[in-house]
Amino acid sequence: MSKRFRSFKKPIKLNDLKNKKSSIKCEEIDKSSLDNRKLSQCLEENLKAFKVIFKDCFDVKFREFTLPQNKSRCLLIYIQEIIDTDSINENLLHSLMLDSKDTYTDLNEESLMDSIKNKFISIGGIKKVTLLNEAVKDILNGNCIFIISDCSTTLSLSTQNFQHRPIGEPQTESVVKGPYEAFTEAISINISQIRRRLKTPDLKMEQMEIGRLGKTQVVISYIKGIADEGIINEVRERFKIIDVDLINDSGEIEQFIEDNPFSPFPQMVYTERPDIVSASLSEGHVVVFTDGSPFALILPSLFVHFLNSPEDYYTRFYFGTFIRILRYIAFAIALFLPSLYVAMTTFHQEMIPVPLLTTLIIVRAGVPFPAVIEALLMEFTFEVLREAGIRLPKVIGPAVSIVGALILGEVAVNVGIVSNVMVIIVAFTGIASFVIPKYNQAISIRLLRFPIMILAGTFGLFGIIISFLFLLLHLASLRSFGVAYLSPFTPSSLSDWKDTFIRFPTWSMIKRPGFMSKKNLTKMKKNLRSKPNTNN
Amino acid sequence: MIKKVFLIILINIVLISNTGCWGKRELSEIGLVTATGIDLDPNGEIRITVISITPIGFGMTGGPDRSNAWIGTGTGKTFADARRNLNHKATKKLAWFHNRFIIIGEDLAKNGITDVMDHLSRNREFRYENRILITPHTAYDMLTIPADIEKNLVLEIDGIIDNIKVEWSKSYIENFKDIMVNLIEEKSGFVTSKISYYKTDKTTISTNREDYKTIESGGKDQDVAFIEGSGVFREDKLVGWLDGTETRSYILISSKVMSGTISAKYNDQKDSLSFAFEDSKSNIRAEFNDNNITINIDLQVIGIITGLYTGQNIRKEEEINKMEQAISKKIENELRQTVSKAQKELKTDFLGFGDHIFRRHPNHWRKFGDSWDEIFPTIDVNYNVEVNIKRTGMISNPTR
Repeated sequence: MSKRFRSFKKPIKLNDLKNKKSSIKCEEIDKSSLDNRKLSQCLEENLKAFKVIFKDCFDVKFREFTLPQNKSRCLLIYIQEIIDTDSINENLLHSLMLDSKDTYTDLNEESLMDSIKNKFISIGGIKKVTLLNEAVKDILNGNCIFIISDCSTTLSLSTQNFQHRPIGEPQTESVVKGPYEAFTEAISINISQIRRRLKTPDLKMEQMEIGRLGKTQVVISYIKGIADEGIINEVRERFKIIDVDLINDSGEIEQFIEDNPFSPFPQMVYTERPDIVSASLSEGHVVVFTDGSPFALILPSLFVHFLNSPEDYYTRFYFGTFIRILRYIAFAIALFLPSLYVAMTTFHQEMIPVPLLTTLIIVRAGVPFPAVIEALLMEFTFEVLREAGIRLPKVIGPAVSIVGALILGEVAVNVGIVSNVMVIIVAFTGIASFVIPKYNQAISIRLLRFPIMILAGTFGLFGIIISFLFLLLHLASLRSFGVAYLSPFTPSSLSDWKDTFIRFPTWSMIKRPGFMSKKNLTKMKKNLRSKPNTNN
Repeated sequence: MIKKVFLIILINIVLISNTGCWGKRELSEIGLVTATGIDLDPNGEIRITVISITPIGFGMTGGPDRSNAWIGTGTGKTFADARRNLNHKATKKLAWFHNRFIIIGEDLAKNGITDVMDHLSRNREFRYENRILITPHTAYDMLTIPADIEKNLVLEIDGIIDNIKVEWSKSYIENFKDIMVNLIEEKSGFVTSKISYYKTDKTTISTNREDYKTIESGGKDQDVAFIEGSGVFREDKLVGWLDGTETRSYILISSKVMSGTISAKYNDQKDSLSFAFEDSKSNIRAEFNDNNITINIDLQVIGIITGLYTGQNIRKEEEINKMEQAISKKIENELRQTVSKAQKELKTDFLGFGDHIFRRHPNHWRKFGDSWDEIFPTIDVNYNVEVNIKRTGMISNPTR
């Protein structure tokens, strides 16, 4: 049948084909010449072009069939692994081959496609494609290209079905009370979770593609009217510049768009929690979703945002405030405690009360190293243990934690390499650093601890003060997308302090933070505090 | 750019490693001096005696099992010299920042303490809260007394000092800072505590109930440290001693409020009434008539009854008034004795009369301030003691 069909068709288009055949030959095909090529009306030619492009790709399927009524040849091109085959079978093949008895026999070739599109293909996303590379892109994105011989139009059917993991619990930002759902690697799922939380047409989602090879889908979302236009434009500008092969994770994007790449402090919060994203959007942040990464980037992000946990807002404000303050103290401990210990035991023994000092003298008596070396040694060991704990196969995890924490620590103290007070200090510092809710801020603290320890060991408290001032100056000079990193402390705006050290009652936080945006600040009605009804 | 960054890193490394660890003092290298004694040797040299604590051994609770107390002495032409000379006997770097008290021997105190104080105040290791104690013996003798029940003598004396501070007014301990203030302001006199020891053939050991007893030490006398009374300084020299009662009068007059107990004659029975004062307020007023200076001391004492050894119904106001009068009479007598001792025997105005005139009546002070030491023994002092019994304790009438 098909042979006859081909022989019948050939004479008509012979000249055209002959002219083009030379350029379509596999050997001679030049990739660059395919870039702006239009899809031809000839099915055979298209098939060849696609075959050249998808040479050695076993997963690209070319499905040829003829319409039962008018014997037109049809071609479906798709990648089997990333499409929904059921959808194709039911909505396209079945309806075209079996359901349509004699409805389109009389149609000419031009209106044939429109008729098929309008009557027989029961798939939502359909668009016409004219360019070859556009069609190729669609195939790679999981669409199905539908070509009918001699038809001028080619259809791209949206049949994507990428494999992804189901919505799970957040791995890095767990809470006791609050939503348990987290983002996944599939951007469509992530967006659906946000759309579910913010049902407003003002929630804009601008799509972009980044990566020459990866063509990673990136979505910049914000709420129009709340987010600052200047910041949105700045984000767009910075994204345009990125020109790389592949983006695997939002962490890579972060490094291309951050304000100060050499700062030890992260300038973007990333989160896998939809509730944090929706809350940030409603405060005027811009959120960037990256396909393939369960972490959304929130920008701009300031110092205070790294010490916030969604649970602060879901619990009552007394406890919210308590854990907030606890976290700030833990932050200081994680940064300075080993340094303070080193400085006080080697330079400022007068600051330690006598009973404690005598204990310390005994404990340190057998230790052969100066306190700085001891501290550096222990911190290094702790970091190694921590890293090992992350990289370990889960099966042998408990073994290492026993060997590392119990045996190593206990024996090191007994042998006299380190003092047991040092073990307490290091352990407590480590635990305190886990209190910081955002992992990227926690690791920056881990890094900064070492230079501060060296300074404390050489200059004592003076060194700690110097490093503290240096950090403070650096933090004050830092910007995240034009917003001062230390706002609302400096530049100081007292009304925004309601959400810093002290988490004010929810009904009292009437305004959005003023450092993010200047307009449209009111986020709730005044006087929402609940009171008993006085009429009764 | 890379060159610049490299240079900055290099400079920092050089900076840190060259200045590095200046003033470093590892914990294992230091000896904690917790008590210092200063004497004047018969040959005119200054002798310094220190107790340096080196804790040793792991205790089960984390604290030290015991402490090695190293007692070292050094002599030198000056205090600074003597301090340096200690080093050739000490195995640790001596650190004074946790020094608790300084004991000054009588010989040195009589000779004047300005030089020693000058050195102490120049050195940042000596804290202002160091207590200054004067001993009628030598400081060396005091510091070599073996500890009785505490880990070392320093803790024992420290405990005594803490007790005195709270509820015993028979000694007044001045700290280093206040003595410096007294010396700098050139006050005519001041008072600080007296530490001494007595010999006993009984020592206490505290163990469990079966073993509790006092042990005879086989006829060999043990020295036990105690603090009572005070030493009186005129300018920077020790001129005499006050006993416990006199010190209490000094405390009452100069409003250094401490609590204490006074027993008085009541209901015609000697010492039948015990009164614990909790608060006192004294007001010194000076009056000038022609060339006579009169000092009026208005003293208000507030306290409670802590003991009543006589059968008497005290639920009447007149009985309370009677008791108040009895106590105020007793206090007045004590004040009179102390003032007369200051005027006649010591001839030193440690009670602060001159200070009061200097502050309140500067015009008068300008007239006779230079000859105050001669005038002081001749002035008249009037007493007006008002006692206020606030409570009678948990019970009202006596038990019998």
